[in-house]
Amino acid sequence: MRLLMLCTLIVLVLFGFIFWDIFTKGAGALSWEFLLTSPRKGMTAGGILPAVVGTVYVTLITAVFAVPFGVATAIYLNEYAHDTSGTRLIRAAIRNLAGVPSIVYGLFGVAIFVQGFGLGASLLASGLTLGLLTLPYIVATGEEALRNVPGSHREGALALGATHWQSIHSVVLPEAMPGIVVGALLGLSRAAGETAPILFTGVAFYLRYLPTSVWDEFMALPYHLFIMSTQHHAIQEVRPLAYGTALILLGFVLLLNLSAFFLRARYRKNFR
Amino acid sequence: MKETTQSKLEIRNLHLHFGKKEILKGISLHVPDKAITALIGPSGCGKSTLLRSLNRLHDLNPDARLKGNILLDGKSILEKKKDVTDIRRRIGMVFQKPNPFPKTIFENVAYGLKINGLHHTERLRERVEHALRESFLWEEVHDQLDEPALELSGGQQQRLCIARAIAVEPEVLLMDEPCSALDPISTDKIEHLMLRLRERFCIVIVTHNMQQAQRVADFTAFMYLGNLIEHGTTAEIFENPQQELTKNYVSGNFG
Ligand SMILES: Nc1ncnc2c1ncn2[C@@H]1O[C@H](COP(=O)(O)OP(=O)(O)OP(=O)(O)O)[C@@H](O)[C@H]1O
Ligand SMILES: [Mg+2]
Repeated sequence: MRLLMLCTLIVLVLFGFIFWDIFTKGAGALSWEFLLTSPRKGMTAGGILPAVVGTVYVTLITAVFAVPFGVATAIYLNEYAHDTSGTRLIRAAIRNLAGVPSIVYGLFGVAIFVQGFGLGASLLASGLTLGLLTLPYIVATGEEALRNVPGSHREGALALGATHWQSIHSVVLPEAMPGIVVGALLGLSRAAGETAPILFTGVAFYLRYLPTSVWDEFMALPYHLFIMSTQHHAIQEVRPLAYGTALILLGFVLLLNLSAFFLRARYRKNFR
Repeated sequence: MKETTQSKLEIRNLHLHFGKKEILKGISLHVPDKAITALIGPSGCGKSTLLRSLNRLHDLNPDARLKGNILLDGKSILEKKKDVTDIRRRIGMVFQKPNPFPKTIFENVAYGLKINGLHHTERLRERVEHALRESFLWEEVHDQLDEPALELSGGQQQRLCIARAIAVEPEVLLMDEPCSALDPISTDKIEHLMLRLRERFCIVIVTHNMQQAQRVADFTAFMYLGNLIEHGTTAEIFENPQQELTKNYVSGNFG
C-alpha cells in the first residue's frame, strides 16, 4: 500500500518535472509571432506556422478517414456480427494492430499509399497512414462505448416496432456517442503527435509555403521538433525554439483531450 | 369473470430450444381478447421465454429455434417473411425492469410513433398526452415533458414504459413481471392501470405474485419446467385446480 503510493508519487513527480521543464524553457519562445510566422534564417529564428498548419491539416485528414470507418466497423462488430470464432479473430487482430509500432505503419504507408496508390509523399498519404494507425483505437473504444449501452434499451426500441437499424440509429448511437467521440478525440490526439508514420509519407524538413492541396508535402510539429532537437546544425542555439515547439504540440494535444473531457461532461449532464 | 372465448392469440404446440436445451416443450394456449391472462410458475420454467416468443424477440438470438405456431387473429406470426416490425407494433411489451430510453419524457412516449412515421408535431403532442393520461402519468409529468425520463421514480418509469407501449396502439400488451421492481403503492397504480387497459387490449402478464394474479387476471396459466400444466379462469386455477402440481404451487407449497 505504502509502496504503491510511493510509486504513484514518483510517477507524478516525474511527469510534473517534465512539464515544468518544457514549460519554463519553452514559455520564453512563445509569442503570436512564433505561432503565426514561418521559420527564418535556416530555422534559427521566426515561428512555426507551417508546422502548426500542417499538423492541423494532417489530423483533419486522419479524422475524415479514420472516424467514419472506425465507427462503422465498431457498429458492425458490436451490433450485427454474431459472436463466432471469425469475429473473435477479427477483434483479436484489431487489438493487436493497436500495439503495432508506429514506424511499421510508416513503412506500410509508403508501400501502400505513396507507391501503391501513387499518392506520392503528400498530406493525403500521411493522413491515410495516420488514419490506419488510429483506426484500431477508434474501433476498440467505439465497440466499448456500444457495449455499454444496456441491451434492455435495444429491446425496448425493437419491441415498439423499430427495425434493427432504427434501434441503432435512434437509441444505441445517441447513447454511445459520448464514448465514441471521446475515443475518437483521444485517438486523434495520439496521431497528431506521431512522427514515424509521416516520416516517409509526406512530412518535409522545411517548406517555404503552406500546403495548398492534399497532394502537397507539409511540415508538422512533431517532426519539426525532432529536427530542431537532433538534426539542426546549431542545436544549442535553437533549443528555446524547440522547447517552444514542444509546448505548442503539447497544447494541441491537450486541446483535443480537453475537448474530449468537456464533451463527456456535457453529455453526462444531458442524459442523467 | 369474463366469458370471452374468441382468442386473440393462439399458441399451437410451441417448442423452443436454446442450443440443445429444450426450454418450451410443446405449449398450446388460447389467449382471449380484452382480458388479462396471467402466466405463473416457478422460476426458470420458461414464462419469460414464452412471452418473448409472442413478439419474436428471440429473432435476435441465433441460438434460439422455434417449432410450432403462434397465430394472431388467426394468422401466423412466425413465418420468416412476415414483417417482424409490424408484429411488434401490434404486440407491445413492458419489461421487468423499467427501461426508459435516456431521452426526455416526451421523446420516450413519442419514440414508437416517430419510427412509425408520425412527425406532425401537433398530432404527436396529442398522442403523447393521450398515452400519458391513459397511464395515469399525465398529472405528475405534464409540466416536465422535456426533462430526462431517468429522473422519474421507478414506478413512474414503469408507467412511462407502459405509456410508451400503448402510444402506438398495439392490440396485445405483454408484461413481464412489470411490478417486481416496484413498491406496493406503485404496484397498486399499475394494477389499476392494467384493469383499465383490459377494456381495450389483450393483456398477458407474467407474475410471481399469486395475489396479483388473483386481483387482476381473468385467466391464469400455470407452467412447470417448460410445460403448460393447466389453464383456466383464475378462479378455477386458484380455487379448484385439477392437477396436483398446480394445487401445490398455488397453495404455496413450492416455487
Ligand atoms: N438466452 C438464453 N440462452 C439460453 N438459455 C436461456 C436463455 N434465456 C433463458 N434461458 C433458460 O431458459 C429457462 C427459462 O428461462 P425464463 O427466463 O423463461 O424463465 P422464467 O420462467 O421467466 O423465470 P423467472 O420467473 O425467474 O423470470 C431457464 O432455464 C434459463 O436458464
Ligand atoms: Mg422471467
